[in-house]
Amino acid sequence: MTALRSSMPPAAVLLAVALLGAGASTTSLRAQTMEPRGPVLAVLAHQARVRSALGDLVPPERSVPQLGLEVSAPTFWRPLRVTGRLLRSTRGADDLHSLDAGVLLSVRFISLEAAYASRRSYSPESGLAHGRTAEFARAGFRARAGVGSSGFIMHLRGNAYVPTQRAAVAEDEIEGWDAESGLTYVPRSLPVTATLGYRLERFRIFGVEQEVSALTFALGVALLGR
Amino acid sequence: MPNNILRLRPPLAAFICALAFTSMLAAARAAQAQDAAAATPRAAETIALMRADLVAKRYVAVIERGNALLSSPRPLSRDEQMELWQVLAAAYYPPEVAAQRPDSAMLPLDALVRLAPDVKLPQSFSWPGLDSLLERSRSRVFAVVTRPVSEYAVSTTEPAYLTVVATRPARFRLTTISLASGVATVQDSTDARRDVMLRIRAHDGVRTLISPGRHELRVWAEDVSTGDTTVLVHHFTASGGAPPAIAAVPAFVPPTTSTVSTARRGAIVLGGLAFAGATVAIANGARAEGALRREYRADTRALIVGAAMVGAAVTGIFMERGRSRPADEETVRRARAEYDARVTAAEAAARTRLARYRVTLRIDPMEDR
Repeated sequence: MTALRSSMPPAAVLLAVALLGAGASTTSLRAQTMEPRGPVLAVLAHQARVRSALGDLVPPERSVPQLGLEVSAPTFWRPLRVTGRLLRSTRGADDLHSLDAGVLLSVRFISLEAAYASRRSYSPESGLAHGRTAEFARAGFRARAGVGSSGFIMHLRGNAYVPTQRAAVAEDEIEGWDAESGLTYVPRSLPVTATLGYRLERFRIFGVEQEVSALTFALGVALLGR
Repeated sequence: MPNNILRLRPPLAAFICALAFTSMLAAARAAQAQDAAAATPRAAETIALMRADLVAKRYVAVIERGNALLSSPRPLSRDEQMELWQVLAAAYYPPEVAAQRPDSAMLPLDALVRLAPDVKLPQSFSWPGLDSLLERSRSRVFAVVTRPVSEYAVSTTEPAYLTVVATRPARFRLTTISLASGVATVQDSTDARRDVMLRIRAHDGVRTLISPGRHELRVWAEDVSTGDTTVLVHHFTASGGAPPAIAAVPAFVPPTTSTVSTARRGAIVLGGLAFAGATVAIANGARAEGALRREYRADTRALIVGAAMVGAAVTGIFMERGRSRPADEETVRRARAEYDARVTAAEAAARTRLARYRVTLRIDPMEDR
């Protein structure tokens, strides 16, 4: 656990990088262009690599394709949006899946995120899913930056996980974290989005340390345009 | 066959009898009408006799003939009516004091000013007393008449004029309403006048006021002394070429130039590199410690995303539009001259199209409301 904590990324470093990148790229962009006005619905495809370990016991890496949906919708208060993401393995209901639902508070190109998250882990002995789901509270940030007037938007996310099932975990307060970066293309004349991204997620569930690394593709539609 | 003829005979006989009866009835009616027409003298003849009686100062005879003519079934033309009312008024109010019946004279005079608000009595009937009575009639009756001609040729430069006459000063407004579209156009209006010529235009230089088709023409008149209003309605058919479409000339937009500063390019590159660097950092530096890190290498797929970000940043430099600023004076002057030439050409084309636009208005017989 100490190892986990000591290797805790460097959330502050990531945030600093995000601020630097976003700040550099958005000097001439208005705040309104950073988040779409209306709801955004996207279909996600993850090509995930799942690695897990229990002490020194390390089962073989598993490759799990996932499909899912991501939704982001505005609320009555413009800076606040609700978000949700559901990913399921294409290999069956008992395989890797994840669910996130939360709110996003945006100030210009930076957003603060608070969410509920549920994850399913793998057994290092069998290499299969545990069949048990762990629930977390998740908090973090997102940064977005437009690449000039090209229609490209880069984004970066970082989140820390806090367990909601105290009995199932050790004494550590922070059980895991995730980081995600991506490049989204939003054509000027069409309300659609296309995203290529990378995501790394690691956490400890029921004593098993798990790392999920995924290449993500997403196709979305911004229902009220940009 | 003989049986069939026998069977048809009774209905055939009844039909022939009915035909004969109808023809006889029609002939009898025609003869009756011919007798009635022959018995009634022609209006012009009667009025001529009335004139002769008036010259001979046989006023009672004039009035009797006039009343007989008014009660006859034969319709009178407008001119005949006017002549009848004048002769009757002169008979009711002659210069001889003993024969004067001013109250009775007002009735034909009122009828006369309703037909022609600006009427003047002929020299043969006119004398100061009757003239002042006519003025009194004019002042107590508010009547308005229009005097359209049956056909007008209207172009953009040559409007049509409709003469309108009132007994008292009135404000006038002329409106045309397209019966196809329902669009109403106020063509002309005036302040207090007794007689005016109201203008009817087909095009005002910007929009078409009268298109080919059926229209309604309304003359609204308001008596300035009493506030009484009256509306006279005509219908007319406009025929001619299609109305000219005048293209709107867009406003002049001063030319601008846009430049992308080196700092802006640098910011885009720096942003791209920062995000790409963060992606690689996530894949390498943020991994789990211990067994997992020892057993597996970092996911190299993050490099794909990082490379895409660098590529997007490079693309962004070339696609960046930069900030626009006004062009130099010479460029603006040249653009202005080109714009002015375009406007002049457009105006000339519009003038030509407008000059060609002509419509003919054919007025239906008048209806008063």
